Amino acid sequence: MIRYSLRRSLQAALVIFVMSFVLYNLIGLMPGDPIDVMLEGNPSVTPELMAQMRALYGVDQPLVVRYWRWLLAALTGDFGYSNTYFRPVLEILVPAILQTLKLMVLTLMVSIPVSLLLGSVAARRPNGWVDNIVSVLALTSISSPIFWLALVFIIVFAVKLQWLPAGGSSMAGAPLMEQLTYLVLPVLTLASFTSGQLIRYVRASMIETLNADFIRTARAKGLAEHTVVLRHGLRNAMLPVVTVIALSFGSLMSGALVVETMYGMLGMGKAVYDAIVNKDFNVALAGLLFATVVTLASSLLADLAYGWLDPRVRLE
Amino acid sequence: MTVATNLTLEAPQSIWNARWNRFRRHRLAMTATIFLILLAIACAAADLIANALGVDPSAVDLFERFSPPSSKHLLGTDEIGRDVLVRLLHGGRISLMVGLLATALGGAFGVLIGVVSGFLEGRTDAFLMRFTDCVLSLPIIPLLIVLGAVDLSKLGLPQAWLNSPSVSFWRIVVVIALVDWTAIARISRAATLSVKHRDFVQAARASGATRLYNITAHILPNIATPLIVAGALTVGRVILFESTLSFLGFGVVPPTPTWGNMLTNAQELVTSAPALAIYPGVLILLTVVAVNLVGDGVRVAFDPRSDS
Repeated sequence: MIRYSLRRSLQAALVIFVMSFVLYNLIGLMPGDPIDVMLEGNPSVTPELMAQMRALYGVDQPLVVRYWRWLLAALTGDFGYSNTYFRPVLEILVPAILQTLKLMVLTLMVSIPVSLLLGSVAARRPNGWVDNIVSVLALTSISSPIFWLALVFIIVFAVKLQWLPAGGSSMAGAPLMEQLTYLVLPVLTLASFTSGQLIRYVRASMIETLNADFIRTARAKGLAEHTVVLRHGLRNAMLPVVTVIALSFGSLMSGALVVETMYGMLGMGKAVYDAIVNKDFNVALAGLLFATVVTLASSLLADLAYGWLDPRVRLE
Repeated sequence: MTVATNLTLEAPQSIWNARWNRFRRHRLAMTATIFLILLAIACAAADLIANALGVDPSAVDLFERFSPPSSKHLLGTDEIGRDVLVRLLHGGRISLMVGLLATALGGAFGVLIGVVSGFLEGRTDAFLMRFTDCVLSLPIIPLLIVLGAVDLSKLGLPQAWLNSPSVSFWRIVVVIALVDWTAIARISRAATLSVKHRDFVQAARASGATRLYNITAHILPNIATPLIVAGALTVGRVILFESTLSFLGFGVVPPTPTWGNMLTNAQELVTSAPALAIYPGVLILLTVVAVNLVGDGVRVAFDPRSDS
C-alpha cells in the first residue's frame, strides 16, 4: 500500500512536470508576448527599445531556456509578476484559491447529501414515479449549460423575486449572514451542475447493492427497512461513489470558472479567465497548473481511498 | 412468461431489424429522435423560413429593438432589432455541426489510440494510456479557453486563411476534438482487449490475416456498440462545451450567431429582456437532453441486457 502510494505519487509528479512544459508552450502560443503587453500603447516605443527590453527580460531566448528559468524559479515559489496587477502571481492567486475553495466545499456540502438522498430514494423502486422524477431532474442537470443555469437563477432569484444579490461579494467585515447571501446563488448553481452526475452514480450503485444477497439476508432476519437501506445498502453502495466524488474535482474546477465569471466572484476561475483575456501570462500559467495539480491529486486520492475503504482491493 | 401455444417460427430478422424494433419501442428515445430530426430540418431551412417570413437575419433595425413576438418576428427581436427565431435557427446549425464534427474528429482519434493501444498491448499500450491520463488530468474548461485564445499565426498557418470567416468554426471543432477524445479512447481500448482474445480473431491470425485486416474486419465491428453509445453522449457534451466557449467569447465570434454567443449579451439584458436569455438556453437544454435520450435508446437497442 505504501509502496503503491509512493509510486503513484512519483508518477503524478512526473505528469505535472510534463504538463507544466505543455502548458508553458500553450501559453506561449497566445497572441503577443509579455513585452508587447508591457509597452502596449506607449507612443515612444522604438523597435530598438523593444529588442532591448526583450533581451533584458530574456524573452528573446529560445523557449526551452525560458521554460527552464521559469521552472527553477517556480520550484522556489516564485511564479513571476502579474502584468495587469503589477504584483507577484501568488499574491493574486492565493486569496482567489481560498475563495474558490470556499465555493467548492460549500457546493459539495450541498450536493453530496442531496445526491445520496435522491439517488437512494430513486433506487428503492426502479422505474417507479419517484425514480422517474429523480431521473428527469438528473438528466436536466447534466444537460444544462452551467452559464445558462446561472443566468436563469439570476433572473428568477435576483431580478424577479429580488431575494438574493445577482453577484459580486460583500464588503470586507460584513456580518457572516450577509457574506453568505452572496454565496447562495453560486453554490446553488454549481451544486445543480454537479448533482446530476452524482445522483446517477448513487442510483446505479444502490440498485446493484440492493439486489445483493446480503440485503436479502438483512431483510430476512427482520431488520427495519431504514437499517437495511442505510447501514447495509448505502454503506456498501458508497464505495464507487466516493471515487466519483474525488474524480469530480476536475469538473468542479471547470464549473467554478464559469460560475465565478457569471457572478463576478473573485475566485481562481475568474482569475484564470481574466488572465487569459488580459494576456496576463504568468497568472494564467500558474492558475492552469494549479488546476491540473488539483485534478491529478484528486484522481490519486480516489485510487488510494478505494484501496483503503475496500479491503478486498489490493493495490499493487 | 406465458406458455407458447403457437409454434410457428417467427420470420428471421436481421440484427439491424431487431435493433430498430427495440429502439422504436423506447418511447422517449423515439420522441427525442423526432425532435432532433425536426430541429435539424428547421435549422437547415433557416434561410427558407427567413424568406417566408420576410426577414433578413443579419439586418440591424434600431427602430425595432426588443419588439415583442409578432407575425413577422415570431419570437420578437434582439437588442439591435434582429429576428430572434431566424438567428436561433442559424445558431442551431453551428451548434449541431460542431457537435457532430468535433465528435467525429475526436472520436476517430480516440478510436485510433484505443484500438492500437488495446491491440498491441505492452509498451505502446502503457505509453498511450499514460498520455491519455495526462490529457484527462487537465481541467477542461480552462484548457479549452487557452486553446481558443491561441494565436494561430504563431503556428505558421497562412494569414489569408486565418482571415476567412469560417476559421472560428473550424477552430472550435478542432479545439474540442483535441480535448474530448479520452473517454472514447479508454472505451475502445477496453472493448478491443475483450474482443482480441476471442477465438475467431485468433483463428484469423492463425490463418495468416494481417493485423490491419484483423482490426478492420474483426475488432472494429465488434466494438461498435459501446462506441456508438459513447459517441452520442459525446455529442451532447460537445454542444455544451461549444455553447460555453462561445458564451465566454472564445468560440464562434459574432456576428455569426450560435446558441452560446447569443447569450453573451443576455447577461446585461436580464432586467429589460429576460426572454432573450431564455430561448437559446432552452434550445441547448432540449437538444442535449434529446441527444442523451437517443444515446440511452441506442444502448438498450444494441444491448438488451443493459436495460435491467
